[in-house]
Amino acid sequence: MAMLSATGITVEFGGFRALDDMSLSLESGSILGLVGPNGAGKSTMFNCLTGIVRPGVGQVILDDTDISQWSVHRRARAGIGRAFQTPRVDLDATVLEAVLAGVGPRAHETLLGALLGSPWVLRQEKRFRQDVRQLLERLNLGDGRQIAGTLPAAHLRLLEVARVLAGDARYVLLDEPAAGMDESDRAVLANTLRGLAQQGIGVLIVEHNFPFILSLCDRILVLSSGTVIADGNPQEIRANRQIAKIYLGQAI
Amino acid sequence: MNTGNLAATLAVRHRAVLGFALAAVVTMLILGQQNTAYATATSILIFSLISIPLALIYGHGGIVSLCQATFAGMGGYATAILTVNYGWSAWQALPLAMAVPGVLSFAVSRPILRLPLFALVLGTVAIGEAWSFGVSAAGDTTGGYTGIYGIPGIPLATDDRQAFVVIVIMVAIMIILFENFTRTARGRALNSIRVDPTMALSTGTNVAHQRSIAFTFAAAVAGAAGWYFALYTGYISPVSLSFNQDAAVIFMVVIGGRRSSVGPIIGAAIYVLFGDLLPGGVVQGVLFGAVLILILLFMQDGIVSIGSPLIRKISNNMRTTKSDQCKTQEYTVQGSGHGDA
Repeated sequence: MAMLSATGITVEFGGFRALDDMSLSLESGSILGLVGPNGAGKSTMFNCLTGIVRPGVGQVILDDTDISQWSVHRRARAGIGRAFQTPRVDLDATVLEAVLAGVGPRAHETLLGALLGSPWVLRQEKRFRQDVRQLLERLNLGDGRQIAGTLPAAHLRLLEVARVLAGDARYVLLDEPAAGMDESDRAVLANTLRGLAQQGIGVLIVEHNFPFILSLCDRILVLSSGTVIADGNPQEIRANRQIAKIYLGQAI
Repeated sequence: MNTGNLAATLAVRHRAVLGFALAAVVTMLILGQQNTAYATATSILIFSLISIPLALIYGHGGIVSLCQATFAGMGGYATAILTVNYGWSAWQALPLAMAVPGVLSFAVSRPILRLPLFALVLGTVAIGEAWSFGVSAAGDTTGGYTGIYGIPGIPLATDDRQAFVVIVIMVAIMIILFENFTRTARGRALNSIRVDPTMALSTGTNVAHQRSIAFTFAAAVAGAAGWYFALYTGYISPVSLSFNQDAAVIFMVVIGGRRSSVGPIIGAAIYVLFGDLLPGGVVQGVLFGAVLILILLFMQDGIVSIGSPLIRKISNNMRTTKSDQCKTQEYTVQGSGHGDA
């Protein structure tokens, strides 16, 4: 089955249990929201899925393959793309170059081909640039000539998303991509993510803006202290009194 | 139209090597058939060939190496030993001159490149020191402290001018490789490693492997420079290419432009020319040190960064003119269509 899933993940940092027997599954073509207070284990879950953290207990499974022991770059090449909470962007590069850094998982050139600028590599490069220009247009990031460091923070987050999409990821993991975005940027982001889901891409999103996540996601997991305390579609989460009281209180 | 596009793309991609070739031709026109200044020009380009790959691994990959000239020394020794002791021809020695530093750097790269920056620098210094101690102590094979004399000259070259042409071609090839590589996914991956290794990993880059490959490539090119050096001077000793030159090539890269292929050539020219003009030792050290600090503080991309806004402006102008022409053509076609109807 086409999904990225984690089962029975337990991660401990020193004596602190960041994730406690946690499971989730991200299906292709769906948008899964991950919410919870700071320290609930959301980012640690991301790190387990992408391989930055190797859990002591539990498995990560990509389309029926156990990838628990795979390295970060191998998982990226297998189609797991990730945007970071704090943008990790070359601020001196142009927007185009910064997004092009994300085509890595699609690139298959040899060292010799890269050094000699072989026709195959040139064609690949041309295709990459065209694709990235289209992405920039789709995300309202301009013509790409601007220096990344001059972008407002919200657009840097969009740039992170663009970089993930540039790699043709089949599963897209976004860590608070909408933080600090205004209404119009959020709308662009939401439309893009819905479009991805329609293309059959699985989107996992961590977000604090509850109305945004309720309107966007097909399913929502609520985390607290490393475990799932609620799991359901937006209506069910909204109807869950306990959750509403704890997390939505003033928000709705 | 299509050929025009291709030519334009290649012109942008290879403007560095075109500029370099132009400068080399002008230099040769000025210097003429016979001139002692060819020795200076050649020396600048030998240093360039050592420092351009360093710009690739330092300016793009963030690897600070203080043994780049030592790798050239290894190439030089391999050439000297093979030609003088074993009677190989210069051409036969070239692959080995590149392979010796290449294999050695690859072998040490994995453990050493994992080190944090400061320890990495010390580690590369240690490689240089170990090498220079090793060749000094190796007896007849390396000629000990006195080194090896009587290395045959540059192949295909009978005078200084022709020898200059050979190093010009070698540097030109290096510039082309540099410009190609930095415009590919591999080149960008190397850049990502410097910017943020975690980001590089999550965009599918095997960070340890790519760093190791880059380090090895730089060492192999330095080996080729060492090959040329040994043949050109006809002599190599433990101090020919050692710690002083290791530090000097870092200076050239930083001064000229650590992310550019032509920056290190400018840096090498400054180093060699001012080295000849200035009184020796201490004064040079103080002056070069001061320049280095100023560049690091105020001009992180070196002297070439003064020129780059200008180049960008010119190429933007060219691009605008070209698209204007395309529009004009479209209108003409439409206009004639209406006329026919």
